[in-house]
Amino acid sequence: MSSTISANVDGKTATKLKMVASMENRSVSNAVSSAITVFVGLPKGVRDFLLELNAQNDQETIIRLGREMMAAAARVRLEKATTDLASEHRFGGPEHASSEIDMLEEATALSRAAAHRK
Amino acid sequence: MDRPVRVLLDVNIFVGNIMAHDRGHKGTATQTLVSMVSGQQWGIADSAQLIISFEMIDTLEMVLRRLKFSEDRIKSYSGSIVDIMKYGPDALDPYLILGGEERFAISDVEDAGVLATAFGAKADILVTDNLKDFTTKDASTVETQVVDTTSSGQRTLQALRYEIGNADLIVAHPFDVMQWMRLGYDFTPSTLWDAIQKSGKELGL
Repeated sequence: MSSTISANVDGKTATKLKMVASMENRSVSNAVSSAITVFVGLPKGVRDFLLELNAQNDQETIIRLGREMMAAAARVRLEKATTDLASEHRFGGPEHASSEIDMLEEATALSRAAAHRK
Repeated sequence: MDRPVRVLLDVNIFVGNIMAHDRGHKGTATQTLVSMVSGQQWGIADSAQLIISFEMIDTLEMVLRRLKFSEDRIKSYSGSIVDIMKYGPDALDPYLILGGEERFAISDVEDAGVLATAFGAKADILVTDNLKDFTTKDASTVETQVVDTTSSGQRTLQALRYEIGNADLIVAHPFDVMQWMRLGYDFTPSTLWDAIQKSGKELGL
């Protein structure tokens, strides 16, 4: 079940919102919906800190924090992607016993074969 | 080191990382190196900036495609690697690294491209299992250790150093890199090379 929610924002925020929606090829309503979903999903401390930075217009810290969040997200995403790929056991799974150097040589052979097929 | 160590992990390291997880290994050299670089860490005290080119990403995706992984999972893995590079301490962009493989006397075009990427991005170290293909007359070489393999018997690992113009690059095997990290070596290429040569002499290799 969906609900309609309305909110008042200042002109600058409204312009920024339209820009973000346009850049990401989505409707303003969809961008607002995503923003709310993200906001309510964050721990209260993080929400308060972000609002505080915004109120102080501390762009430097906002940008630094954004970069650090992206770096952390990339690390977690890589861990998850690795686990997902490994879970398919296309390399033989745990019963395919091999030493570390043998695995590396196998990985090199696979990489070379793929490079030469390009 | 007073700046992030610029680390190029070859495609075989990323493939070896998935393979090790798949086969239930923990703490292998490839797993440790990928984990460290993704956390922007290098050894105990240094930070790391990952380097990779879109050509290498393309090869990595090709390896995974040939193993019949789904496109979503492939893109998720390669996309996160690109993000780790972009949001690293030096904020490098794989699109903006210019190579020039014609400079190197390497028969394999792909490996020449990897070397060109390392030079273009001012890498300090290139980590690869495929040392043989990076050995050219332009590189200085030190033998580091002998390992036993099932497929090729005894194999002597080497460390290579390329000094071209202002660029200074060490090419090394993941086993050696892990060992140097454990020994607390400084990864500034000139300092590292001195330490590698010294320990090679001590081992009599």
